[in-house]
Amino acid sequence: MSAADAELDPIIHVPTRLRIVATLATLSAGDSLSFSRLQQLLDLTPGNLITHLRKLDEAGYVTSVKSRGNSGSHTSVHLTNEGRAAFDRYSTALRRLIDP
Amino acid sequence: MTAPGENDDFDPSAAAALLQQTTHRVRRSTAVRTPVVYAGWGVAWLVGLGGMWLSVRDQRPYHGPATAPTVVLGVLLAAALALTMVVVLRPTRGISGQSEAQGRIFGLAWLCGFVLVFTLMDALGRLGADPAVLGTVGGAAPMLVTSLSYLVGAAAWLDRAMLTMGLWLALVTAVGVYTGPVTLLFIAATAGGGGFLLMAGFLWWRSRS
Repeated sequence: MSAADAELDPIIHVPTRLRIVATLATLSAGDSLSFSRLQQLLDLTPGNLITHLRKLDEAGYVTSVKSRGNSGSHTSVHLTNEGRAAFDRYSTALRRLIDP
Repeated sequence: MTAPGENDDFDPSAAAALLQQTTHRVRRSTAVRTPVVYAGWGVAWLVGLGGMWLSVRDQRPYHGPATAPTVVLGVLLAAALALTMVVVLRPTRGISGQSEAQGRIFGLAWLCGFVLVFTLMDALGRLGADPAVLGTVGGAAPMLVTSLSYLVGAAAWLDRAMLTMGLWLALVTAVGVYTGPVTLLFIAATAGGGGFLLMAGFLWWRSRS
């Protein structure tokens, strides 16, 4: 990793996690996205998505909420305030690196 | 442990391109095609209310629309509502939280408004109101409810198109209500339905430019 890359949050600066965080950041601050819709939008396998969501969860960037409905259990994923702030910092750092 | 997809050679320009591509793709996939919604209501108003106006335009004195155009209007409005629900719910499936709650409350406000319109019409009928009064209230009240629904939607989503449509329908209602039940239907069909279609055209043009 170069010195310039060191400014970029390593939790987000991974292609799949960047796509996950960017997807969740397009939603309004109070909104969540179902696991199945997130998987469909990103075209990821459930296992791959779970692995990356776990890393983001450990960093406090996302939270997952499980609920039970008529059609079985349902998981929704939400970008936390900390995750949204980290994504904003990441986007700003990225712009600075590309267009100093 | 390295998760699948982790890549040490992920340079900033590739990250920026991926970020832009993802954001663009997700916004496109979750965007509601509002021109279709406006066009659906525009056709329902123009054809449905226009047909109703054709059935009453020669009535002297006014005694109310025939059953057939009333049924046609009802079917067209139901079709526009179904189209709206499909166009809104399909791209937003899986999204829950604040936006979903706003949408549900907006739908409830709209439903309450129309239930009250039918209640008011029923009460006026039971009180023996004149057909001209019933026709005027029956034409103006749904426009009033629609106008206020759009203004509520504009407040909830800070949407200029909804604000414009709400104000336009308020103006159309205010002018039409003084023209009597027959001309009111013509104004609702052309200025109301036409307003929806113009807004659909404008939003479609803006989405392409």
